[in-house]
Amino acid sequence: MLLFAGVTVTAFVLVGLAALVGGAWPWLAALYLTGFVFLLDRLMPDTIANADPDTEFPAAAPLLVTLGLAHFALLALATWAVGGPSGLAPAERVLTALASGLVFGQISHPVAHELIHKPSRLLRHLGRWMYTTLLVGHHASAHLLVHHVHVASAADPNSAPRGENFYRFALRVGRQSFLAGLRAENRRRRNASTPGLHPYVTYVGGALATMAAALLIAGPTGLAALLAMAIYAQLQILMSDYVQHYGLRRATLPNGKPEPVGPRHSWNAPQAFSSALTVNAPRHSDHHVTPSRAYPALQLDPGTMPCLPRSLPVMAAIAMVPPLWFRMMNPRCDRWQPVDATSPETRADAVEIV
Amino acid sequence: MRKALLSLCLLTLPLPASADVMDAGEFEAYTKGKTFYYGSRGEPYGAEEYLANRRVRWTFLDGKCQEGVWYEDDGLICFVYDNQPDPQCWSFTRRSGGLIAQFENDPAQTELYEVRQTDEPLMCMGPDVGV
Repeated sequence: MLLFAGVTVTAFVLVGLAALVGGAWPWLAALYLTGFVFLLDRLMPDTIANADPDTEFPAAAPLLVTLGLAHFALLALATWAVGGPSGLAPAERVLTALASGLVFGQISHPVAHELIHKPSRLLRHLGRWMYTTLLVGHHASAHLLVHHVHVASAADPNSAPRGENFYRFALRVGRQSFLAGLRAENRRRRNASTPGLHPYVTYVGGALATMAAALLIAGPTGLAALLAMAIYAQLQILMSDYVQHYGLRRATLPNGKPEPVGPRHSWNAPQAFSSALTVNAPRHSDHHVTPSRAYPALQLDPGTMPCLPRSLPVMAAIAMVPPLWFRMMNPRCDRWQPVDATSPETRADAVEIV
Repeated sequence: MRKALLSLCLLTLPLPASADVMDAGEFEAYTKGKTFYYGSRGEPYGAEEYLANRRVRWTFLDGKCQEGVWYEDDGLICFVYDNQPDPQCWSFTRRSGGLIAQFENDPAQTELYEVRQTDEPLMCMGPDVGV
């Protein structure tokens, strides 16, 4: 628990100092979130060790709330520092935007993701608002109602079929995920007697309000800074879905339905430091099988769960070079696939038809 | 070539679910206004009251009840409860002895089966203790 708190809070403090003070801090912040993560992942022993899944972690939720609130503060601060009259030099602004975007993509996203899975309505709303301020509120609906129900099948836009490169995936999923989440919310509300405010109104309205706030904080350049950081964060959200489900498909049962979601349908990574930074997001198979389990208790078993050959952030970097990605990942996909899997071209096409 | 590919795709698309899996209309007609008690592996498991507008009330038979709604998604019946944001999706089959429910999210879960149904509402202790 201490590791989660120390590693994540340090990132927020460093980026906060980068935005407020400039100088060496933007360099330190950017370095912490890239090279330092890589180095510590190599130096620390991999944490295959599993906590007792039934243990309660009373500090887990307060850390999420703290980081959630820090997210809003940092977003406003970074918008001002990067796009406003902060006195930072151009290079400092670029580095601060980069480091902030990494915090939003690597910490805010996993924290918001944890929160939208929580039983408490208040915590769920906090998670939704975190996504909304990154201008991607619909992820809260699409993730729960579409991704978790249809993961590793063609009905989930966010599960990349084998052979699809990240750029095609990102262009396709942005729109498809928005619409699939909207359809699912509409389905759920169709018969409700008192459906309340449509969540998509909050997502779109909240995004517009966030952009208006950026204009107020730092004018048109502030809006540009917000857009740049939000798009960078959204690309990381897409990347985490891409890397965590690439090429894994559920088998179709004789009755035509996909087999139930199991540990074989997500990629995992055991590296300790990047796991702590992203509140155990790389323990992804267990999250899909038991979505209500708190992050410190997520289990990892390399015997039954596909593991990535490198840490999650390194694999994300590799995914930006598709030939390299395919060479590393396609043989591994084949090893975890059911024997009746159809050819990659066929499945890539099937997704487009849907 | 494209045509061949397309027909291949059609072959790999899911076949229509087998005839005995209930769709939303059948499920609603069968359950609405009633309370079902379910068992699993010879033990009582839980009970659910099916209210108007596809609202439900579930209990693990411990006196505590959770409110929720159900909807159909791709042939499955999915439940979302007030304190459980992840949809719980099931396929319901009607057999001679009553409903069989197969949980579709987790392969480790066994089937639930209908033990009895009644028109009586669920007994829930005290006011709902919300979060």
